[in-house]
Amino acid sequence: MKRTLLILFALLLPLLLAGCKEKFTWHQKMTVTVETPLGEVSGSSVSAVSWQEHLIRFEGMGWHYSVTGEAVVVEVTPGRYLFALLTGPAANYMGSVAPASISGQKSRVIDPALFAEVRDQRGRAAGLIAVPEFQYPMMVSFADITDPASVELVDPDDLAASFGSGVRLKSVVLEVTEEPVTEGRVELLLPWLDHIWPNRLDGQRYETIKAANRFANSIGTGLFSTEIVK
Amino acid sequence: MTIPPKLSYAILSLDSYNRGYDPGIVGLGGVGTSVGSATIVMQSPTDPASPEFAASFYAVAYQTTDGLVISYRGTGDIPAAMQAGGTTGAGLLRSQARRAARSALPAEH
Repeated sequence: MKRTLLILFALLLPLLLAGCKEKFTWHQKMTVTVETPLGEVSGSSVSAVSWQEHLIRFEGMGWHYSVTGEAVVVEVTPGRYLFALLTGPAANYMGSVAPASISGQKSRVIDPALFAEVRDQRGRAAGLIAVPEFQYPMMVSFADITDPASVELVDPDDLAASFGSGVRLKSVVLEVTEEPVTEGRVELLLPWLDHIWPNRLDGQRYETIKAANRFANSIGTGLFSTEIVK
Repeated sequence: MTIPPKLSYAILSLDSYNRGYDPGIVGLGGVGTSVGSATIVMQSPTDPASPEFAASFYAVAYQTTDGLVISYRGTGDIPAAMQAGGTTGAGLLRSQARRAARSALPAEH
């Protein structure tokens, strides 16, 4: 009897918890612009962010967070691409970067007032939001775009080191938008994403200290797109 | 001062809530970082497209002086975890989490 009640309670719990707290959702367009000797080039992608506070906090951050979207791709020089991934300096990056940018915070931001400001495009979130350097997304490129293990970290302060002299990151900006979430652009360029998921870019299933290529091992396919194999 | 193993395990069990995706405390680091004398040698996937993220599951392995210690969490988000078939935090269906831990962190890493 006790067991039945417990199971019943467990089954009903999601229903009890659903919709009890305000949910903050918005679409955001991230645009990365790069200066090259041949002129400016840019790329953008739209992602969907959702935050909802747990009714009961057991452990962890106490919020349900989700993001749908894909990395920003910029063709910097013919055939050489820059990818601004769905991760950055702070945890829950895509959900935090807009509120962190408008408030000038370096770490993750979980603040209902800031979420509302972003969602409603009010105050500092009206129009374009300049992403400060300390909130830039992680950027990567590939020595050989057909080889996932050839992924390389790109220094936003020194794009010339990855793409040649005269190449410089101009800006990263966000805009809250009604546009639909972009999908398929990254997978078009990196068709191997579907094949290696859910493995990491070095082909291993898990991130381990013993990986020969630690950087490729630290990157999961989901940092390029949340829609792989869906 | 040597920390008793049980206290050490308790610390590591809490530590898993502050690592990986959706950490309670940010900036503690991932694979290669240490908690006292324990070093993180492996973790389950943390990116949003991973099955582990979808199931609200996260596991981390520490190399300690007593051997390999696995710490995991399964119900940071109760609805998501239940959708995935587990209620670990409530202590009701631990076998689900055990299975997940076994599959997520093979003995040989």
